[in-house]
Order: sequence, then C-alpha cells, then structure tokens
Amino acid sequence: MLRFIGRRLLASIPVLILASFIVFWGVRVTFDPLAKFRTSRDAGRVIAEKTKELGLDRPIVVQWWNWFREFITGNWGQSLTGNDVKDMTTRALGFTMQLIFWGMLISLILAIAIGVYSAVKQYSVFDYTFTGLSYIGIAMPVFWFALLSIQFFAVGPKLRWDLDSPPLYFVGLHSTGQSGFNMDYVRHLALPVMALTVQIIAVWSRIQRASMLDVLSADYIRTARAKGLGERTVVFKHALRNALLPLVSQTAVDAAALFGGLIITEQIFSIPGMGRMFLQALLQGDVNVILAWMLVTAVFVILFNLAADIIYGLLDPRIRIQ
Amino acid sequence: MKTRKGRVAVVALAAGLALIAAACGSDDNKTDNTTATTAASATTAAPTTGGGTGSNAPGSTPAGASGGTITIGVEQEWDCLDYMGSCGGSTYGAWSVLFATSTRPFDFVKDGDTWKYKASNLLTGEPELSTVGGKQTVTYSINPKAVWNDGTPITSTDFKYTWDQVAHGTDIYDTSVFRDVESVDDSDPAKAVFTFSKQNASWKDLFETYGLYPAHLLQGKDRNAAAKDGYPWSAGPFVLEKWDKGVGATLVRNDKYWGDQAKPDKVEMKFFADTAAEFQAFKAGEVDVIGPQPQLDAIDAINAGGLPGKSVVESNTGNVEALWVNNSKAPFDDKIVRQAFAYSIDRDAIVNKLFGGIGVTKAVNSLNPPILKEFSNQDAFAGYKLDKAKVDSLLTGDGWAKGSDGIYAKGGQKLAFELKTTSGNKRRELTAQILQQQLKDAGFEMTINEQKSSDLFGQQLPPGDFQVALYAQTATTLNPGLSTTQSSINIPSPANNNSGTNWTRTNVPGVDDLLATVDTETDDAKRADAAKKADDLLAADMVTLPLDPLPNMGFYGDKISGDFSINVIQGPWWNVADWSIKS
Repeated sequence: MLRFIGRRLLASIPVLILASFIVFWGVRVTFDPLAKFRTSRDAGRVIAEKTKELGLDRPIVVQWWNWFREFITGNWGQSLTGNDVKDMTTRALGFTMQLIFWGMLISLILAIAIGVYSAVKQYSVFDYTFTGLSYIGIAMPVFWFALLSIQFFAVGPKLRWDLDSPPLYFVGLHSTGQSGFNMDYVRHLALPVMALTVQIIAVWSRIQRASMLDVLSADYIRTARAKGLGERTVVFKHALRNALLPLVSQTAVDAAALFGGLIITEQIFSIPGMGRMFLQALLQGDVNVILAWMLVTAVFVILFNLAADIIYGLLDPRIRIQ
Repeated sequence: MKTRKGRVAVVALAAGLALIAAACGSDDNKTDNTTATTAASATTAAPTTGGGTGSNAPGSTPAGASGGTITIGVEQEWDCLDYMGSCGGSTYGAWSVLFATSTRPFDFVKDGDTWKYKASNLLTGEPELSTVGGKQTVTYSINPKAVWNDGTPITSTDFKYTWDQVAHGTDIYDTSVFRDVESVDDSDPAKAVFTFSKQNASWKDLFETYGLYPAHLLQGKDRNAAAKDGYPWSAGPFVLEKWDKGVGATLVRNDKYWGDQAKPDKVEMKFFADTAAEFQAFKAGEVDVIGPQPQLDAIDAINAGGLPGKSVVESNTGNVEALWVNNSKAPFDDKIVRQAFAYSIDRDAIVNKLFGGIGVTKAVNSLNPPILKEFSNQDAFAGYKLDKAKVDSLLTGDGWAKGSDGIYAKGGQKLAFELKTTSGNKRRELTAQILQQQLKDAGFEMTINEQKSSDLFGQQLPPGDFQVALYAQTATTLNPGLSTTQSSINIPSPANNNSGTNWTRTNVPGVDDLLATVDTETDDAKRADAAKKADDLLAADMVTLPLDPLPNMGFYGDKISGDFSINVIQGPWWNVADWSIKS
C-alpha cells in the first residue's frame, strides 16, 4: 500500500511542474500585471519600477523558473496588491474547507439515505418524488437557487413578520464579533451549504440509487436472502458496501473540484474562499495567486483521488489484492 | 435488543437536543450588530494599536453619542491601506477608512450647488498663499489641539514627512501631486511652509489624496509595511481596529479626536462580491448602508422597490463617461466626421435609458465633470443633439455619399468604425447597443469590441490602437485637470516616455496655452475664464463626446438617523461619525 501511494505521488510531480509552467505562461501572455498603473499620471516611472521589481523584462522561462524555485522553498511570493500569497491561500482555504466539509457531510448522509431508500422501495411514491426532485436539482442553476433561498429563508420572513433579524444569514460565516461553532455559525452556514448541496445530493443520490439497484439484483444478494438473513442485514451489511464504490469515486472527483473553488456560492454569500480568491486574481491577472490556487487545487485533486483508491480498497478486498 | 437500541436512540436524541439548546443559549447574550446599546453599556473593545501606545481605552459612550454599531456594505474590498503606495488608490478604501481616520488641510463642502474647499479643523484658518523670493509659498498654521490618537501633537514635521515620502519614497502610486514642491520648512512645529519651484494652481490638492502620515511613528521605518495591512494611527474621528481580509473591517471611535466625537461606537464594513446579495442584505437589515456602483442590476434593484429607509442619488459627480474619439485615426482624423458623429447621437435618450429609473435623464455637456462647473462651461457640448439633416449636410459637403445600405461612403471606404469598451460591464454593453442602432440610422456603421480593462487601458488606448472608446474619467479633487488628457504635450510620445495620457491625440490650437493657465494661475477667476474658453474650443473641434455623469448612489436603512447625503469626493458615508442609531 505504501509503495502504491509513493508511486502515485511521485508520478504527480512532473505533471504539476508542467502544469505550473503552462498556467504561468498562459496568464503572463493573457494579462497585463501593470494595467492598473498605466492610467496613473506618473505611469512611466511606476511602470519602469514595477517591471524591474516583478522581473517582467526577463524571458518567460526565467520568470517561471524564478517563481518555481521560490515556491517550492515555501516562498509563494506576493500578490499584485502586496499581500503574502501563502497567507491569502491559507485563509481562503480555511473558509472553503468549512463549506466543503459540511456540504459533503450533509450531502453524503442524505444522498446515501435517499439513494438506498429509493432503490429498496423502487417505484414507490418516495422514489418517484425524489427522482423528480433530483432532476430539478441537477437542472437548477446554483446562483438562481442561492438567490431564491436568500429571499425565502432570510429576507422574506424578516420583512413579512417584521423580525429583528432574518432567521438565516447570508453574509459571510459569522456575524461581527462572533466566532466558533454556535447558532450564529449555523445560521450563516445553512444557506450556502444548502445552495452547495442541492446539485450534489441530486447527482449522488442518483448514482447511489442506480448502484444499489445493480447490487440488489446480484446473485449473492439472492443467496443472502435465501439464507434467511433479515432485509436490513442484506441491505446494510451486504449490499450497501458494494453499492458505495461508484459513489466513492464520484465523491473524490467532486470534492477535489470543490476545493478548486465554489465561485458562485462564495460570491453570492460573500465568503472569502478559494473560488472568490481565484476569480479576483484572474480578473487582475495576478499570476502568483492563480498559480498558488492551481497548485493547491492540483494537490487536493491528487490526494482525494488517492484517498478514493484507498477507500475503494478498504471497501472491496478484491481491489486490495490487485 | 430492540428496547436497548431504543434507549440508546433516546439518549442520543436528548444529547443532541441538549447541544442545540446550549448553542442557542450561547447567542442570547451577544449583541446583534445593529441593535442600539445604551450609553452605559457600550461594548467597544480596546482597539489594537501596533505601536503599543494605544490610548483609546474602552469606556462609556461620550455625552451626545448614540453608541452602537453601524454596518456598511462595501462593494469592493481595497487592496491595501497604504494610500500612497502603488497598491493603494481604491475608492472604497478611501471612503471607508482613509477619510474616517486621517486629517487633511481642506474639507470638501457643498455651497449651494457647488463643491468647494474649506479649511479643516486641522488648521487655525485658511492657509496663507504668498510669493517669497519670486516663488509661490503656502503656509499651513496647525491647530494646537490637533493630535494623533496616541496624544502626540500633529506638527509641521508630519507635513514634511508626508511630502518627503511621496516625492522621494519608493513604490509611490502617483508623485505628480507634489512634483512642483521644492522644499518644506518645518522649523516651526506649528507652521508648515511649502515652497514651490513653479506656479501651481492645484496646491490645495497636496494632502487631499493621501492625508497626513505620522512622522513620529514612521520616520526611519518602512511606511508601506506599516500601513498596507492596516494601521493603528488616526487623526480622524475613528481608529481602524481591524481589517479581516475578505470579510470586513472595523472602526472604533477615536477618543483623542479634537473635533466632534463620533456618535456611533463602531462602524463595521462588510465586503460584498455580488450586487444582488448586497441589496438583499440591505433589505434584510444585515447592513445599514450601501453605496453601489450605478450598474444596471443596482438600478433594477432600485426600480423593483421594497428598499427600506432613504435613497440618495447624486448626479453632481466627479465622473464623466464619454465617447473618447481618436483624433488621429481615420475616419475621425476629419473634424467634419467627428461633428457628424456627434449629431448622429441622441445622448439624452441614452442617459434616460440607463439612469431614467433613478431620475437622471440629461447628458453631460463638458469634459469637466459637474463638480467642476466653476471651472468649465457645462453647456459646451450642448449643441450636439440628434440632427440627421445636419449629419447629411456635413457629410455630403465633405464628399461622403449614402450607399444603398444606408451607410455613407467616400472613395470606396465605408464610414465604419469600431467602438471599444470594457467587457463585463452590462451598462456599457447596453450603451454600445443603443449607439450602434442610432448611428446606423444616421449612416454610420459601428462594430463593438469589448476588451478586458487591463488590455484596453494598458495596451490599446495608450498607443492609440482604437477609433472610439467608451469609458469614464473620475475627478478625485476639486481642481480642474483637463491638461492631462487634452494638452498636446501629453500625447504619448518619446518626449514623455510614451506615458502621456492624452490618448485621444487631441491637438487643438490654443487649447494648450489655456489649459496651462488653468494649471498655474492661482487667481480662480482667471483660471475659470481660461477653462471655459478651453471647453469651448474643445467642443467646437468635437474632440470627444461626453455622455453621462455616472451618478453616485447611497442607501440608508431605517435603523439609523442623520444627514444622509453624498460627498462627491468622500462618498456616501463621509459623515458616518455624525449618524446615530435610533433607539
């Protein structure tokens, strides 16, 4: 297992190096990092100083190599606004991880529950209802749902019943002066997590249902029933474990993608996470921030895929042996 | 087995409910951020002061103050708080933090319909303008009560330090404001004497952009490092307590401020990335004030109604959005074509379409913004109204003929051009579309090319790679400065290291001298006369077509009371120190 993990990690390194150069080159030729200074009345002097300071007069390969050498030794450089990129990324990651953790936890619990029940009670009212809701969830744009949820659960009730404050908040993750896990945090978290999970639950519950149906029709399940095992044992002890395998893969892929940025959710709910950081850096052509974001996301993609493979092996001994 | 499992489930449920009850209970004693507190129970925490000499000890709310916290929604987080550094220059940063925590020799006050400079409480009176040894000299007499928040008096050394940093420091965004200052005499702590190397009519702007910096805290230190992430000093009614990047910022009352004490204990800023969410937060009372940009979605939100409190729209702004015409590039290198272009457009109809919902319906008629009406002819371009007959007579007289497609042509060349503007700006997209139709009706063929701001302002406008561009200029002081964009010496060329900002290549005989007078003449009447004449010449030549004033907007919720108005330089919450929270 350790050799497997080591091989996977080593194989990722050249990919990351090549990706970093491609992104560096792409951002440099696309954006002008000195754009904001060109409209200054003192543009000539400022631009000359900044060009030298940022090394923009050097060949692109040299610029990339200088950046890469600093990056791997822990110096992630400064943003165009003079902020430390590592601090910015760490802070943004903290916010995004909170959203992802709660989003994935709730999504997994609900998606598995819905998927299993839908499969066990196939063609029931529950199954049809949640099938319909899933399609609506998949089709619904996140930004639209987010704004609707703000209206229905925050602004609407506050105005209708003249409340002192809305039942759920939608700006940031804490009120001013608050911190930690408390009811204020829950009230702030509810709407962004809801916006985040509506599509994920829809997709995952479908995957879980399909996988569960596939497993429930297998011969060994028929054998288990024939042996006289209770339905609950058949479903949860024998079927579910195998039915989780496709969901595990999907979860790993989706979680890695989420780490890259919950751009829409973070924009609407004013959460300063990775997605918002990336969007602002992209608009400004802030190559140091974009590259840091890219590499952090890439690392998480690799780690989550690795985790998926490991969990796969834990769930299915046949894969472990292979 | 079932009974045991049932008991376990009940215990687990009870534990969960207990946790939730505990979490609910922990909020009961917290103060909601918009709830008024009485004077005796002010909850201001001791602000963090980096120098360790903070003097704003928590205490009861001063007499006359309402206490409590006012929350402001900020549409754009600033990059840094070192205002003179290259990372500075954020409008919202200035509105939210700079003007609340700094001092300057002049305030911007409204006198009737006009904005003027007025000596602030930093000084004992108006600065003295004189000529010493043939050189222009300005003497500031400092108010003996003026102190920093650590109790240190403000002296002429602070004036000298600030000048020295801008004029000689590294990584300064714009040194031009102090370019003509030759020396500063701080031998008398109560008087700062500035000597200029040449006549400078904009001397009142010297400290308006950056404010004063504290020499006793920064002398010999890295100013940018000390300020960029937030600074502990203040000479204004508030002190910056913290800046939580990406989330918000907090100001607390400066108890050492020598002027009127701020009424609220705290001012909280919350950053918003989405305009719709910003308006929702205002409606829901999560923020008490917002000052959105005049974009279509903001205007839609206003028109949708349901906004609490008071709305203020100010069209008397420092902004001019215009159609900037490249006078050196065909077909607009021909004055006749430029004039025909101007007569092809119904500018009032465009402005009405964009801003009619908020009561702004008339186009601007000067390249000087409305706040500089004293130094401009605000009707200079008023003659350019939609007149297709005039368009036809001008163009046919110039040898153009209308083709079967309704577009004029001359010598086999169609009267076609490209309009460039910034991408991602819905208001400008709509403006471009309306223009395209109006111009087509008049016989022009216009294509639209949207560019990223960085590309447009960085790579296309300076070298003149455009025919017409749609964007705005904003005045940040009350001094006219058209020479930077309209004097021929500022056309980008090797003479100015290609850094000139007369991107339209305007070169109208007589204008350079008039604008030079505006820059150097200290007699306001003479300046105004020269500025108005320059306006008339520029309009006659139709160098560029002004369009709309980009109004400023402010929305003030029901929980606060005060004088709600928009200061054209200092923004919609310029006087937050004077607002109260209704009990």
